[in-house]
Amino acid sequence: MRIRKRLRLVAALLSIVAFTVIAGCGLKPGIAQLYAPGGTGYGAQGALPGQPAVPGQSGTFAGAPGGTELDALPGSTASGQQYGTAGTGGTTAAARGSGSGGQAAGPTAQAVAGPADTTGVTESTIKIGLHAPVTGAAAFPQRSFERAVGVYASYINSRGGINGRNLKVLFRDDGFDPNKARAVCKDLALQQKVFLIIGGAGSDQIDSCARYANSVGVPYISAGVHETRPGLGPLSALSTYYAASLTYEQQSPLLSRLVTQQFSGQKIGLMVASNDSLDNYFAVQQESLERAIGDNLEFAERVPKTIQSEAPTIAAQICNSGVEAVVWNGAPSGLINVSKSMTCDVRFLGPGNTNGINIVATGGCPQLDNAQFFSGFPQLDKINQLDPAFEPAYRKENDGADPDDIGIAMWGIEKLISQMLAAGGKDLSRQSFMAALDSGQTFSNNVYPPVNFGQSRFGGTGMHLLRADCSQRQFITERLNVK
Amino acid sequence: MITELGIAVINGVFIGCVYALVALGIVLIYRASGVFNFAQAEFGTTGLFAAYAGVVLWGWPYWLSFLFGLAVAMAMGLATERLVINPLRHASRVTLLVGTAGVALAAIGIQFWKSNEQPIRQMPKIVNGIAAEPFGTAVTYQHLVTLGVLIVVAAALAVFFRSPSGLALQAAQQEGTAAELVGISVRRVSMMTWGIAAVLGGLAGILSGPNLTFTAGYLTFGAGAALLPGFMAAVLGGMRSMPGAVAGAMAVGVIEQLGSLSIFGYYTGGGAMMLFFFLLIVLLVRPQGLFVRKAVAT
Repeated sequence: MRIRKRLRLVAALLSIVAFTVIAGCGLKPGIAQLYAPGGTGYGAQGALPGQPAVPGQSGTFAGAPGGTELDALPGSTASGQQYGTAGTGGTTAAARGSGSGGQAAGPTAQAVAGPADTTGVTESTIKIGLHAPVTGAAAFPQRSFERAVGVYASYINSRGGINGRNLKVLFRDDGFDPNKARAVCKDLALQQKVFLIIGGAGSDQIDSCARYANSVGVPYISAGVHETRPGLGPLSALSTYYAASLTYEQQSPLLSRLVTQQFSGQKIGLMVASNDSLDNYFAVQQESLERAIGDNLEFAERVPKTIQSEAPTIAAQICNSGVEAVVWNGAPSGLINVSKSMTCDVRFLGPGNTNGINIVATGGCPQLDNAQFFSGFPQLDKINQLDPAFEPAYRKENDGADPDDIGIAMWGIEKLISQMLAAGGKDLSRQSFMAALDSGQTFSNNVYPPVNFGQSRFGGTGMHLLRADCSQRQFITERLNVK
Repeated sequence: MITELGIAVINGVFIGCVYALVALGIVLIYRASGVFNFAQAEFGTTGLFAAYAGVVLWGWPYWLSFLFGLAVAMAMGLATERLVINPLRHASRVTLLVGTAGVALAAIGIQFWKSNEQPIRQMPKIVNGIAAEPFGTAVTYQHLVTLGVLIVVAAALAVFFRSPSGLALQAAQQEGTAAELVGISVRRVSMMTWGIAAVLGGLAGILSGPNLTFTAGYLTFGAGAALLPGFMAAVLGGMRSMPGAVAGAMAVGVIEQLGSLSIFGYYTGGGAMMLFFFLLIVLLVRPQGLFVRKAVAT
């Protein structure tokens, strides 16, 4: 009787745990239906036959400034266009001896040579996939994604497409969950048969999907995240992986320089989420800060990936330490929750991209006023100057709706991918596409800083620096193309 | 180390206040109907969303929005009782458990559906400001209000269970037919229980929401996740003891915060690990809970 009672209690507890785990996956009812079965394609319509194709390679808009440096940091290079410039190599955590091995050029297209693989390419269309979180701890507004995905595809399709083919973009929600990311990428690769996959945000999700894409030979392009993962090796070793902006490790010296210039002689802290994919970044950033500011690095700690009840304790630790600023790399919701529990004024800085979006400023202000984060894409205050085509195209596609920064991010990545696809030639195949990337050609489009994979699969050459302006509750572009 | 311990205890107690409100609701329903109510936390999130809509979207006064949030939570509790629990009253406990889980998931789905335009939201505080900073941790007026509400609620429940209505509630749970025979409406008692429990959940949501940002599923798995800690607290209290649930919630809150000590800094989930070990030991040593006397076999 007693044993049965205990078993009943244990069973009840297990049920509670199972329910919480299942619910915690954050699957949003309706999302799957929204894009499946088959997914809603964006941008495949609207081609105007007879119109000249937009040159896709190293394209800049006439009259638009090319990578302006607004207020260059001393020591940072003025940007300009980077035609033929080698991309930066990967960064190694010397302290741990577990570097990514990104210094050498990544695997070349020869590694995946064979019969031309034209999956996802027909005479009239190129189908690509994109995954990003619209649910979970780094949830982005669903409506923003619905509006943003496919805007550039429609724009370029209306101008003749890419070498005469229309671009079609399929979107999937990865729920900020690596397992779900892998599942949606499997769907995109095997069921939807896309030509390539784009990783929108979230280091663990990008890592998970990139490794899966590599296993099935699908080109995978993402914003730069971590470079390596314990036990799984560097992302640069994957034959189909390309990072289109600086990795976290590559951004670490930029952050250290920013800290040195703004907080000279003051105490600084470092907090990085405890995902193992950020182990190398943590070591690299810690080493970089120690070199830059020595003993003024007051603490270097890991925080939970998803910060819940721990927020007040982390906030108290920050305030008790007396630091002026914290270099932060963790989930945006965690950043907001910690800042809300703080009793002191501390500036946050960090690598891009997700902490620099306006939903973070909306949720984190006024505590996050003047927070600075790097980003692969500029903010609303600069996009019209950099790419005048964006706003009209966005409004046209969305019944006059005001654009947001998710729109800029999606526009930029689709534009970049379009340039890369055009570089793959008329007889586009996965081999010709990757050969074009590996050739050392620079892709520059005035949204993302120039990208070049000649030296490394980590092809970013700079980052934009954003600053939270709580009077407007949004980020503004402080500097462009910081190197 | 002393500072870290102080921070953990203070934050643990204030987080424990929220867990306690959830745990009280869980215990109340378990005592009245023997149901493990997985929707308890979602009563709170739904109430929070309603209060947020009142204050932020519609510009209502705070007190009115607060009451509106509690009313919506109560309506959800009553609807759950009428539409799920009552029709399934003769079903097994597992079926009822799944039914309440279904209510929670449906609520979370609706919250996602309605809130994704702005997935991260902020509820204003009742009173802004920091009352004290012991060990450098912020004790806000909002925390103190939550603690005060918990004390009042706990006292009110203690009085309630000694009142005719409270005794009717216990009678209806222990022997429904006999209770009906002496004039107690089991149906009304059941609705009253679910209504009170939903208000307790609503209080947890509306009072804790301003401390963090909130999203769909806020009290179930979001930033304010209190369902699992609430169940743990209720189990520690023996699933029947109200004071036990409150004390259990405080214990859960503090132990969870101890996982944030720097000695666990590199281990993700240190708090959860400590909690589970603690609960496991309690269940093995005192399966009836810490605050309930062992039942005597008859």
